[in-house]
Amino acid sequence: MAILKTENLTKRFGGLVAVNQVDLAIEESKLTSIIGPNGAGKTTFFNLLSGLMHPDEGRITFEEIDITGYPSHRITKQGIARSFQLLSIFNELTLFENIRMAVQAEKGHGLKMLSSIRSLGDVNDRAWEIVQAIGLEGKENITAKNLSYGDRRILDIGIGLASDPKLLLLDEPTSGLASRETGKMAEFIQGLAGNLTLVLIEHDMSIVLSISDHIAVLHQGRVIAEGTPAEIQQNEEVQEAYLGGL
Amino acid sequence: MKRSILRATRHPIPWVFLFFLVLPYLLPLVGGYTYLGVEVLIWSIFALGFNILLGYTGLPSFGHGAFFGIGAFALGIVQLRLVQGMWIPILAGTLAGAFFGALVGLFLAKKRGIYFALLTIAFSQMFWFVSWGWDSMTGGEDGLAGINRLPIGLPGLFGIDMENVLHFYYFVYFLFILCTLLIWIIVHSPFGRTLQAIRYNEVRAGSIGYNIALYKWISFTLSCAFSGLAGSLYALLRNAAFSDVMHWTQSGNVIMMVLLGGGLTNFFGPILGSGVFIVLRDLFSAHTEHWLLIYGLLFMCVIIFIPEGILSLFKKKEPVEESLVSGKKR
Repeated sequence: MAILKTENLTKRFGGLVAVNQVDLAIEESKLTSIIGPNGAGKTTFFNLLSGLMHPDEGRITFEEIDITGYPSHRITKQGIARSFQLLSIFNELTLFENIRMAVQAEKGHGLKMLSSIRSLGDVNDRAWEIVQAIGLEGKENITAKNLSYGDRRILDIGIGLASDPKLLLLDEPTSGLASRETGKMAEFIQGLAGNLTLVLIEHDMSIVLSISDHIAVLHQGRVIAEGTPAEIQQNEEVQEAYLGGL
Repeated sequence: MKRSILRATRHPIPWVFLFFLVLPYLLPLVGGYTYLGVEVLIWSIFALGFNILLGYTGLPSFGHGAFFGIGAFALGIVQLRLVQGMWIPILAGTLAGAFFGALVGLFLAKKRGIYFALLTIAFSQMFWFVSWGWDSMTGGEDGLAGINRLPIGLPGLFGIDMENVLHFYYFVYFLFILCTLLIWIIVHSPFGRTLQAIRYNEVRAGSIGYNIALYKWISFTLSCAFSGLAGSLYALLRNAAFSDVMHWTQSGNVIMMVLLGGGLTNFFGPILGSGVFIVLRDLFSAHTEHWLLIYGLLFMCVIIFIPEGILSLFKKKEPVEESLVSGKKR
């Protein structure tokens, strides 16, 4: 069953059509990858899904609810969270506090002015669970900007997980990682895939082909092909547009 | 028990309160006078409240003088026309600051950076012109004279004379304690943490589920309430409310106090900044009318050599997260 659907989704920047009439259905509990050359509109597509940008045309439905035009905080409440290609974490806060802030939002305690954060037992417990789940325990008191790049990548995803999403959008989680870390990240993503619906933007084709259930290829803002990894590998149009000699 | 007392003595708040408790007796030793102490307390309330917005939320308002002035006029209007007394006019000044802050905040909540700053200037100028031109309400050029510091106590039983500056000092000191504790609680609460998260990374704060515009609006309104309270106390201190209390230079003064003291990194920065500003003004203005020139130079030196303000020299990390996590490890 499709958990998220886009119909005719279009976003223009002046004369450039970054996302062009995209119809896409994301299957529940599956890992869908979106691939395509630089400038194909992948990140813009994510920005539309997560409410950071609003489409010029088209509709987004999530669990049968029309969420087109929702601001990002409402989309998160509906159950869509994301990570960022250009890391977006709270650099000045500790690792634990980064996670805690997201859990606090999810549990709806943000407006409490007269209580102490210590009193939010449910938040602290859940934040601690997330820290363990992303394998960064022992580093919880390190200020985020002092973490290694690989750990910050994981943290960026951890903040997304802390929103307790049904659908998690991962925007190039291996970007900038060394090859050893890339393998670890692929394993980490596979570990998540069992429990929630994932959409992954990724350049590393070996990862995409090995962990995806479904692949959509974006080229110049349009979906030019969809299918299983095997089907995509054999698609001629895709090979021309993107895979080249692969 | 013993440990918690020990811990309390390491906390700066009791020391700050103790300092201001004895300040009226220290001031004469350095050639000061009690009136100056009241001014420091009033500006501290103003600057601490303002710092919820500037330091914690990261929003630069260049127009908070307007809400200080609104507080002063609201107190004057209510006391002169409606209710003789102290508490209700002071409450009116505070609520007026909050009300107009909430109103203006609606236009500002979705703005950031330079657009936010410019709009705050525009609104404050608007309020200033109104106070200048609306003779029948604000007294226009002459302002509102005849504001009284009436006795405080139980009617018929006892009353403490507030015209005595020392008594008034301790009255303001009492409110200063309440405000400091309240603001301390607010900025360390889940809400306060959220404001800081917005300051550090607004996009991410939004995408983890916080309604940024709502938080900015509340932060703005809160800071304006404290501005209104400080303004109404200032009107009582001067026994009058003039348009110049809402002039844009007042907005600049409060920013300079927060930055000079180190409000961006330290809760107590605004208090130190207010103290330094008021005392230096008093020292220098006795000798030259160009005292702001000297203050300006000092301000520039601080910004160049200690950009995070005086108190950043004594910065200590607050180990809050550690206590949260260590509880889980046991």
